[in-house]
Amino acid sequence: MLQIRCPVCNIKGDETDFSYGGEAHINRPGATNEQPPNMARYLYIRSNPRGVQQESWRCSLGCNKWFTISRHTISQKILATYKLGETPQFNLSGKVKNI
Amino acid sequence: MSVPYRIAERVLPERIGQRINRKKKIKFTFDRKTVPAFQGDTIASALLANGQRIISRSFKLHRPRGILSYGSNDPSSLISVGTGASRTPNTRATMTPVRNGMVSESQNNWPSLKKDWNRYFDRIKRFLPAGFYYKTFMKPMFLVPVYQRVLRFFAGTGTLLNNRDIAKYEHYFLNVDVLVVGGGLSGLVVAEAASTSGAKVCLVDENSFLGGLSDIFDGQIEDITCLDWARKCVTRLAENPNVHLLPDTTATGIYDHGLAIACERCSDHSKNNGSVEERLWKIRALHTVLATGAIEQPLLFPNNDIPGIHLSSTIRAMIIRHAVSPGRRGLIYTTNDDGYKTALLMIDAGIEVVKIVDARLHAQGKLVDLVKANGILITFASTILEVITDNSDIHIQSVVTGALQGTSGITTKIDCDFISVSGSWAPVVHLWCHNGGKLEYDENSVCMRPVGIHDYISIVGSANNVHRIENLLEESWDRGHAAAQHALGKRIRKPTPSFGISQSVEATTSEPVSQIVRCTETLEKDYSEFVDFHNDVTIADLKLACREGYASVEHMKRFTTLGMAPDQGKTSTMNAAVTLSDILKCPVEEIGTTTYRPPFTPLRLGTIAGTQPEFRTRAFRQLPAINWHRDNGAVLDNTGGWSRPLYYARQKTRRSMAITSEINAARNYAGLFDASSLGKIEIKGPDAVKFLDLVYATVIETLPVGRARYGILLNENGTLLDDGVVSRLRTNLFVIYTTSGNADLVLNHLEKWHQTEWPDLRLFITSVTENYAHFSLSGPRTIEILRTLEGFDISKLEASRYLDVWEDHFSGIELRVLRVSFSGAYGVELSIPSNHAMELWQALMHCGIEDSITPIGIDAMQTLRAEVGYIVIGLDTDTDTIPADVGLDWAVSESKPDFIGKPGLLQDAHIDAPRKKLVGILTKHENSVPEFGSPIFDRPHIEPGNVIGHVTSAYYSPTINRSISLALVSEKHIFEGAVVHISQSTGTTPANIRLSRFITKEQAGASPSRRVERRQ
Repeated sequence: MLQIRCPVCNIKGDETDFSYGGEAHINRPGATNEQPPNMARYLYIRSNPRGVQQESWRCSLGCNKWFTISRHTISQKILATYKLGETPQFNLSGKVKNI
Repeated sequence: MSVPYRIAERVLPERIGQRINRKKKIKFTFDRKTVPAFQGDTIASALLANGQRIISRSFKLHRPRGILSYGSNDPSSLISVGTGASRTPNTRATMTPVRNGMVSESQNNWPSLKKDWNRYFDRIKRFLPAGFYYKTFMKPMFLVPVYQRVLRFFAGTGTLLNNRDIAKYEHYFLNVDVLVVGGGLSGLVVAEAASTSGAKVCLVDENSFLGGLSDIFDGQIEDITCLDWARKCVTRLAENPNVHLLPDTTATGIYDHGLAIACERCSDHSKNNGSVEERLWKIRALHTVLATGAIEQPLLFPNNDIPGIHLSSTIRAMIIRHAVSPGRRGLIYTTNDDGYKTALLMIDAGIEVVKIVDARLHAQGKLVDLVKANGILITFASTILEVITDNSDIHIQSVVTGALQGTSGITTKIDCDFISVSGSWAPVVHLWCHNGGKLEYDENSVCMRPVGIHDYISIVGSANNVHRIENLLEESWDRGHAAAQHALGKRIRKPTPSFGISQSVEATTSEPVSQIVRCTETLEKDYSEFVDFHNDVTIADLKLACREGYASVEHMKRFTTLGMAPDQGKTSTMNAAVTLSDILKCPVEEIGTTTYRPPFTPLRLGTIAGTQPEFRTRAFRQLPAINWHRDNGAVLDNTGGWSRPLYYARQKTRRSMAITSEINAARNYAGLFDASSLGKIEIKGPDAVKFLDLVYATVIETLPVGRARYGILLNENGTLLDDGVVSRLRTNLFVIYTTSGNADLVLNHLEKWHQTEWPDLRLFITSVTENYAHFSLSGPRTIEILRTLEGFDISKLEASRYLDVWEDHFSGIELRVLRVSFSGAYGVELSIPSNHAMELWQALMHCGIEDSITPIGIDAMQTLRAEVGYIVIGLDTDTDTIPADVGLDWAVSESKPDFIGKPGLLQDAHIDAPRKKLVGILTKHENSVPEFGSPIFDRPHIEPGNVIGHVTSAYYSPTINRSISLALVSEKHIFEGAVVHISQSTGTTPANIRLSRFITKEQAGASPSRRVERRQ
């Protein structure tokens, strides 16, 4: 069971104290009246990497704020935790070796 | 009563029988036979002492099985313990201490263990290979349930309890710096090093006695034996306040971020801890050190599963701990030094050693010399060719030994009554692998050993394939210190080791030999060479698996069930890997092992469930006027997190009568519904309008102050999330209402989009669901009733239009008044601060107008809304429903440039594809009300593939005296009056699609009466 620290209220807890919100940094297409060509990609396609994934979590039993964590999907290691709007402290496309 | 195989007290009293107290005689029963034992015996040791070699019958072939191994890794010794409601099936005889008066029984046999009728399966085992059942009992399909019932009788382990488990369980939580799994020498040293370095340590071990196998290995630490040193170390640790010792506790799994699950067996424990039988520990450690030791592996030869064949370490443990000899004359078959150690101990204990059969080509050293000096015959490069038993297949009479393949030697037959076998020592790597730890084949010690490093898990001692004491202690001390450093996150000076110079028994020099030691003669007998003892998997089965293409180790496991037994392959994985490598002629490292998954030993479902009170402690929210409802006969239902009145029983005894009278009252007079559970969310701030226009599909910008609007919320893919009223109280203050069960969902939905997509919008989102009671008054007499309300300005109401919202007063308390209706009747909804809810409710109920007002519950409310075709999101819709499917496309703005769900609605699937639409359904039989969810067919025959939709809600409408239903039906079948067939428990019932309203506006009670009939 993952242990997560909320970067907003600084509370550390088990993953059951938080809610998972899927992959982070999915850009919402703006105002439109036609079907954008990348619609399916936006709605349904996720990268599901073997490696570092940026994902949204909500501090659901704490401050109720959304934040982002960089989690390695194999080792389950959490490499960075950051507030919304902050620059990731971790390279988005980077691969981590020897974890 | 004589105990034939108990070693006499005079033989080496210091060394033999260390765990038993010969002064405390106790008795228990096994299969209704009384068995004498000493305190300190396990069921296995007591049975062996009394010559009871057969403990169980194997899973498939019902072959007799005895004690192979000493501890939790024994594959076969499953028995049931206790009687009646406190009986526990599938308990390991090797792990269960004997208590006086205990009742135990063997499993999986009929009519008795010795004369199991199904033992004849063994005679035809050549015709029952792996996969036989899957291939044979699949056709014809309709007989499969019969096959299952019959086969269940032949195969299986213990039987389940028929009644509720009366045992008690509980969960404990523990946070430590360093968790040490395993209390052998290595684990003790780790715990001492880590605690001396300043870490808070927890040590778990599945045995009652800490010290591991230190009693059955000769070795010296300083000038005392390993056992004495271990005992002293345990005493030191027990006194250390920084160390938490948990014996009788099995760590069954290690999960992400260092969470360990461990199961403590309490009832057999000497300390008094109430009536809890097992305790589940959830231990969160910053660093975990695995000192889980190693398991001796059995050897492969024909009939290697007969009772009386034991692992050599098991024989030593039986002699040393319980003074039990497995027989009179033992033959030793070994591939390493362990056989020699066992031979020397047997000689000391006065048990005859007939011969040592060593599969190695040669071996030299002190051990060999000592054995030779005792006059024991050793044959190298030899193997067991045949085990000859008496007619019962239970007692070994003699053994035929011969030369290994490729060597020359004489085939001889020797009389003996038990066999000690010793393959290699396989490290217990299960917990290491639960977290993705890697393994590597070690040719020298014929085992898979852990490789690589892990952040917060380390593995030491024989679990790390380090067996010699002089290396093991040093390594464990270093790892213990490193674990403390990692856990505490700082450099710590390494403390001086608590041990001096140590030495283990001198090893022999030899060439390693794999478990697969076979000679030409045995090749035809591979259908009786057992790899998995519990599931009866033989070498022949592995060969069949390879022939049929299941050669990969994971495929082989599924095909043959090898390693799936309750012991999870603790004594079979290594032999299987080596055998497969032999069959496929490829190196063992390419074969690998199957994936190790938790739990390490079986966990009871009761233990996982933990404390289970008779009544759940989950809290349901109470309506502010709950006391009035209770006092007036409300039948409450817990739904959507709230405890709410279903209907008011009052004088009406029958539910349907009560509901009918409530509905009639709401249509013809007035009904009062407590809707306080409705979600109420305030959106406040200068950008509130902008935000609501982005989250609602409906236009909000044009909503003037003092007006409300029905709005719908969509998911981003265009499907319906929730609906409800949006009301504008002031320019920058909106109150939105949500479905009761969706209040949290909508709040989180709004928060998420505000935080993640439009954080710059200035507004607050506040849930006021519990701050306001919300009463819905509807029916023609609404105005008359409100006229009686103290302080209420009726002129505002009389002047109001549908969907107006304003603030009014009741006895000086502010009210929010909303002109909406859930029933199609004239109606008003009143919001009042929760603490004044009772006053308002009572004032309305006792307004003094005869027969005018009736409280109504959820049942009536649901029927009322269905009569006018109003939908409930989540009931009449599913996650695939878009607004147009339920006739809500008018609520979706076409002019707004953007809102959540707009891009999703443009998907092809929502535009072109044939869709299911919501329609009304009238059954031909007016009294037949379909079940929610009943499938709808286009013809009277129920056939898969003919389903055209399903009933989403259905009620009996007293207003038009017939059943009414709403349904989602495929659009090509929809036209007014179309005949469809609804599935019922007895076939189908015909029905018509109804596109127009069920009831007229007059029937609904849409126009209010303004007469005043004051009671005198």
